Amino acid sequence: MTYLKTAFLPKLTIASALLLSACGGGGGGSSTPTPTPPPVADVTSPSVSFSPSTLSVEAGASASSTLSASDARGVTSGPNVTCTNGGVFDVASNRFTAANVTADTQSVCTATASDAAGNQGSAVLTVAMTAPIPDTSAPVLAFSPSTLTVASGAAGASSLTAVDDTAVTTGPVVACTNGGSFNVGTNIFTAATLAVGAADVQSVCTATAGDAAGNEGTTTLTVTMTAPLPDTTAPVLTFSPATLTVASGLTGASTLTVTENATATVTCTNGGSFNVTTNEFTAAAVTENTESVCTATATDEAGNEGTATLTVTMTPAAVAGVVTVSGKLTYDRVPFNSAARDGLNFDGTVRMPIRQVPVELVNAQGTVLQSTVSDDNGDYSFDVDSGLDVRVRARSEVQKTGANLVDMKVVDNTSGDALYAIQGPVSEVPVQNQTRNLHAASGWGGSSYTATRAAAPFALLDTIYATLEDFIAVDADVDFPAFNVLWSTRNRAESGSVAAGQIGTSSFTVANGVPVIRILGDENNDTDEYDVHVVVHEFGHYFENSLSRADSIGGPHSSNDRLDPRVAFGEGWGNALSGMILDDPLYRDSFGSRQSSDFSINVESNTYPGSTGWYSEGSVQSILYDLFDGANDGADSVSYGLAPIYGALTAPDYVSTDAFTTIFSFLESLENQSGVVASDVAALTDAQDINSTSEFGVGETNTGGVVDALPVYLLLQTTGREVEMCSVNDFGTFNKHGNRRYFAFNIPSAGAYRFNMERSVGAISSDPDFIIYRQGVAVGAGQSGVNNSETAVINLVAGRYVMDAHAFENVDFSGGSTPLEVCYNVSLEAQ
Amino acid sequence: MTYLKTILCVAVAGGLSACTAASSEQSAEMKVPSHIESHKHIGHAATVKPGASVTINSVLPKSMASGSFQTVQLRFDEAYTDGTMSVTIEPSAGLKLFGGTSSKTFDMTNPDTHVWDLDVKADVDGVYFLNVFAEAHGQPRSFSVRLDMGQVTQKMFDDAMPTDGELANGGKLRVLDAEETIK
Repeated sequence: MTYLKTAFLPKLTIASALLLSACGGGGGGSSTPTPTPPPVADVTSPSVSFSPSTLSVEAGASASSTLSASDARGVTSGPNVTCTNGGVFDVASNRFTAANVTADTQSVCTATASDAAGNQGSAVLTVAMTAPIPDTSAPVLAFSPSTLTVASGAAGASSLTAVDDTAVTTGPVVACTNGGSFNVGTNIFTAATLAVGAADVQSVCTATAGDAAGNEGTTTLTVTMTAPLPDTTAPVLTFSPATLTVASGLTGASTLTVTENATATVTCTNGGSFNVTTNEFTAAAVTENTESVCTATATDEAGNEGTATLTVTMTPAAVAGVVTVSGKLTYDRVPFNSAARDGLNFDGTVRMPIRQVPVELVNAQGTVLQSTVSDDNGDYSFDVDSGLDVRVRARSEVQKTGANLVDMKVVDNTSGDALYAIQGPVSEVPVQNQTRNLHAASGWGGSSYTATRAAAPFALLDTIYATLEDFIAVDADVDFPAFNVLWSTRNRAESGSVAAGQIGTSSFTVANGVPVIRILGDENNDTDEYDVHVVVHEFGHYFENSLSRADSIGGPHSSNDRLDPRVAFGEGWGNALSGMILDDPLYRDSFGSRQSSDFSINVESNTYPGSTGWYSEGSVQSILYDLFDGANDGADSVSYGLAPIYGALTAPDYVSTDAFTTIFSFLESLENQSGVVASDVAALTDAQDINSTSEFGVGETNTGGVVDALPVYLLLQTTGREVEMCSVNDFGTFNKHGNRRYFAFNIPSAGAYRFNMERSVGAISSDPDFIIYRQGVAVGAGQSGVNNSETAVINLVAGRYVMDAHAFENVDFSGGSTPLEVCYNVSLEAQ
Repeated sequence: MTYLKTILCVAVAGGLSACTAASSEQSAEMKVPSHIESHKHIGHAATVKPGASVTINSVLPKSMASGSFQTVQLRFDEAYTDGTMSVTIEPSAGLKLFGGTSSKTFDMTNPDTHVWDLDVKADVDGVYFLNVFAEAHGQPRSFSVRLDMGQVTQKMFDDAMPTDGELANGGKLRVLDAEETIK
């Protein structure tokens, strides 16, 4: 500060005095006053400035400029700012706000500030206030796609967008020509409804949108609205069935269907009528066959017309009188599963005709009104008076006369051999012909038998009937003596009373003079009614017994056993026959829980380890099946079919052979059959180690492991000369190889003859026995219980005989004896 | 030797069960002239279906009460000299095997009768069966062994082993219901 600036001195004097007074200084008047410099006058104005001092601000906008005001002694007033031309400067915020000028205008803002001395400073802010640039851009609109084709009354989509460089403030709105419309919210165009067949119409939809500056944009969507094509398709009408036969005054049904929901009307000729609601035709009253044609017509909205016709034969009214009741008889046949050992396949059950059985028309009182026999298709027919209450019954038997006598029945051995039958309920015979089909179901319920096992007797019957047919085919005159098949759900693998179902197992025997085949029916244990090979096997035994000759002593056996040769032949024949009849060499036998297991024998197999020979069922079935079949394998080069085998078994020389019926007697008979080549047969027998084709097995060399087995027949003289034989149990008892020894002898003249057996070596104690046969018939025996000796004097006529001699202990099937090995001296002497 | 016993046993077709249930009805027709006097059958057994040469006899208690385990002896005889015989037993509904054992094998090189003692139990009186399945040398043989537990009636047997259909024509027919379709 420069206080000596005199120019301002007068002004400062008063102020200084005031200042001094105020400060209290200068008191003490008594002191010598120090010269006080005169106050320096404030002549400096406040410094005022804008930074920046120039601005350019758009109309209505604001901008900053920092206003400063300072003074060495302090600004006491201001700064204050005034602006020209509407501009405003806010000192507090240092911001200039331009006036809303419409043309560029300068505003000059002058800021002033003062200090206490009255010095005033100022500054100027020069602002160029610029007028705003006008918005001239309109909103941009677009349809995507911009063209559409939409069917009459239908809708099509096009996406509408509208954008603006500032903002769309109005719209978009869309207006369409020619009845079309566009929904901005859904972007869906809806076509106007055009008349069918009319020309296509174009609808142009214009979308408009605007901004705040009043700019407006537009775009268009061009839509081709297509008119519907005219309907030229007629409704389709159908009658099902299209033909009927309806008796006079009665009704018949045929379903009329119409497309397009059109309503049909039906008119019929010749008095018939058709009810569209019930789909029933009602015949007119006619006295002779008259055709009525019903025409159904339906028209759609376009006027198209469709038609269909129903042709009805109206027959004269049935008069109460004779009508035909006919039908088909069937039964369930249950096959085996294809997989071995899996037993029966109930899912594969098929219906088979019940052939050649008596069919009866029975009234409600049980009286048989008529009988007939079903044909090979299971069909039957009766002419019967209408109005009768009757049932149809089919019996499980085949009875034939004429060229081939047949008398076989399937009966229930647990009910006094009652014959099985199936029947339907009693119902009235109508005035028209009627079909009554009867089916014998298996009764299988999925995992067990849950219903009547009606099919079983008829399955058995049909299996055997098919077997008979094969024999009839090779002998047109063959007769089959009466026999019964015994079956019951109670027939089980337990021995005892056959009447109680204790049949032991499926078997053949003769009971009370009648050949019977017994078949198991015990669910979950062993059933054989569908085991066709088992059934045919047992029929094979019947065949031997009744049409040929069977010397088999029976008993258990299998293909690998070494058996008494009579048993071996009978069982091998049964097995082979099942393969021949069924055209299937795989013998299968089901058993077990749900009949779901089985075992099999392939009769085409030629190998039976350890048991090949004349005592082998396996060897027998191999030879017999190879003689029959058309497939050559191994030593098999022949395909004779059944005829020569049948011929050999029924030949008088075979039936009356003095030897036992074994493979040897069969082979001798076979070689006498027409067309049989001995060398071909020899090839088969050689392959089975069978070395003789004479009925007594002369020349056989295969012992089968039994030292005393050969010759097959020992010869006895009537001179009393002793011949030694042995009875052994090397391969089991009762019917096994070596248990029994065969003898052959001639009786020169009728008379009494003494037979004697005495122990020679072996077991110390045993019971020798013998049985004498003449052409298969037992004519004498020595069966005392004397220890180590057996003697019997028997009257015999002249002729040739055979004898079965054995130790009883080796043939006692009761299990009550201990098998042994023993030899005896046997002699025969005339008395 | 007891000849009476022998006669009964030979008569059992195939010798497939205990002698106790034998019946002359089982035998094949005898082709023996009447002048032959014999205490033994000139015996032909029935010709049975193929299968294992195995026979079974059962030894049962004189009476078997329900509600407690009873011992049943099954005796198997076979005609083989080697291999093993397997036997499986499945009891009929309501019959239990002690311990649940239902399978066993036997050494057929042993010539003796093979014996299996089974303990069986039924909670209520009735007729039951053991389904016995033997297999030897790949060949099976099925057996059924009837067990009467407690006081047995004919109805119990009928329930255990029902028959199908009804008798008609004075017992000459056993009529089974057919499925009839009328058209």
